[in-house]
Amino acid sequence: MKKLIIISLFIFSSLCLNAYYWNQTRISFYKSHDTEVYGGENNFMSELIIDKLNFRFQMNSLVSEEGFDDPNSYVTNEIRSLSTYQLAENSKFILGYNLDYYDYDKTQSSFIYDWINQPVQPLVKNYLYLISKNEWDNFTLLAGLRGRATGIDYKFDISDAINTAQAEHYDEFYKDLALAYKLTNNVAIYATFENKTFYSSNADFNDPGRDYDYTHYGGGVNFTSKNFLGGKFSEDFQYLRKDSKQYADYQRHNFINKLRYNYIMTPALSSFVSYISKFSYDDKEKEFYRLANMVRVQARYNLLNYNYQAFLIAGTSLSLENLNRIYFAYVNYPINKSFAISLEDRYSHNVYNTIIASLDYRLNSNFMFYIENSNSQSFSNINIYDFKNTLTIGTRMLFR
Amino acid sequence: MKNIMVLLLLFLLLFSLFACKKPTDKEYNVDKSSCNSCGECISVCPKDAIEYNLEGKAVIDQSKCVSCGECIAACPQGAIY
Ligand code: SF4
Ligand code: SF4
Repeated sequence: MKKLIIISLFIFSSLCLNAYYWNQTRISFYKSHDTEVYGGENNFMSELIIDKLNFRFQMNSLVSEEGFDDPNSYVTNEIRSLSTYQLAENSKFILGYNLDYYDYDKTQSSFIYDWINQPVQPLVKNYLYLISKNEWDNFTLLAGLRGRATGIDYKFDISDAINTAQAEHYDEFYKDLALAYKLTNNVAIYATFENKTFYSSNADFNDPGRDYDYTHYGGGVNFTSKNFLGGKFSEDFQYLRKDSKQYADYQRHNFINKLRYNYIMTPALSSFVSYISKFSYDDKEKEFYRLANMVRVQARYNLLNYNYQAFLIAGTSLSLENLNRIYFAYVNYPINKSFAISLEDRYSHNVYNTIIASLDYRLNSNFMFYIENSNSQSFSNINIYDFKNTLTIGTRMLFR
Repeated sequence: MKNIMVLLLLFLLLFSLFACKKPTDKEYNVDKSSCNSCGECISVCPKDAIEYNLEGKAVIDQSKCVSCGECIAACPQGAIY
């Protein structure tokens, strides 16, 4: 009821402003071995634009019957808000706040503290961040402060037995800084710094040997070209030094290489290939380690030359180190001015196959209604379900 | 310039594929250009090891991740590798 009032007030108060609303409700049916469980989810998102201020508000509620080990909570409420203020043409401030609230009785024991054999459950998660982005001459400076406080409680009250004080929350503070300098139209260099400090309300867990603090810093070079062997090319090479008591020696000196190449073959057919490789150096063992190699290839074909909304996208993503192979195909086709259909198949080798079909109905340029069905079959025990079907009904509205 | 670039990339590719040792533990990362910030990975991670970064994209905190792979199976974009 409270939620309905907030949403109604929001819609009502902003009818005369530039606003965008999106709402969807999903009903899910999960099946795992002999267990059958129903779940539901509602998502509401709105965006208001008032002069230089852009305000986004999102509310998600998830409720499902009990019976699975997953998700972490059977009842979750999430609130996301994001305000962006354009101070000047090249300068903006972003203030964000996320709140996740879990129903105490319906939440799984999880989270990082169970390494000391005291499973805990999260109750509430607050995430507040402030970001400033400034550009002048050839410089771009991004600075951010982020804070996250997680309220927890113990699933099993075994603390009396081992006579130790319980923690009520753990907090993480992040400080971020990124500075980039454009050397030429094609080449930029940059430096990044990120630091996280971890604090727990239980003094035992602030033991320096167990802390989750980290500091990452490094720099890189970025090259882009609009005409490289006939296509658009970008390459980024970065060195990142990572320090934390939780990292193994080989995780400290990281080299990350990212490239992307877009190529337009014909007016109707375009494609891109991206490749990310990550390797590291262990200065104690004097050895290089390969951490990740990921290739993604994707092509888009326009089915009608007079309507860019009729298209087919197909591609694959291969992660060599984690043996992850995903193949996907998506087709969108407007039947007439009001109706459009889309069909998607996403197959992850040995993990899942998901088929999504959807029908969109556009009443006018400001109102859209859609219905979508997603059907997922699991092949692995990473997914706790064997079968999952989700029916979604949603609307999108735009007020100007 | 282009030729040097191509050769350098080829060297990096071969180096990262063949000259490096594979660690015993897997390391999972997020491809930011494919992530649409849906948060599915955050809600299934049993170690609270994923959060949004400055750009609003999911990032795996390697100090808490135990490489269980649940986020890979949950990501609808195939953005975790
Ligand atoms: S691999 Fe497991 S612990 Fe690590 S981020 Fe993914 S879900 Fe979390
Ligand atoms: S599930 Fe995938 S797309 Fe969604 S936030 Fe996580 S990494 Fe990004």
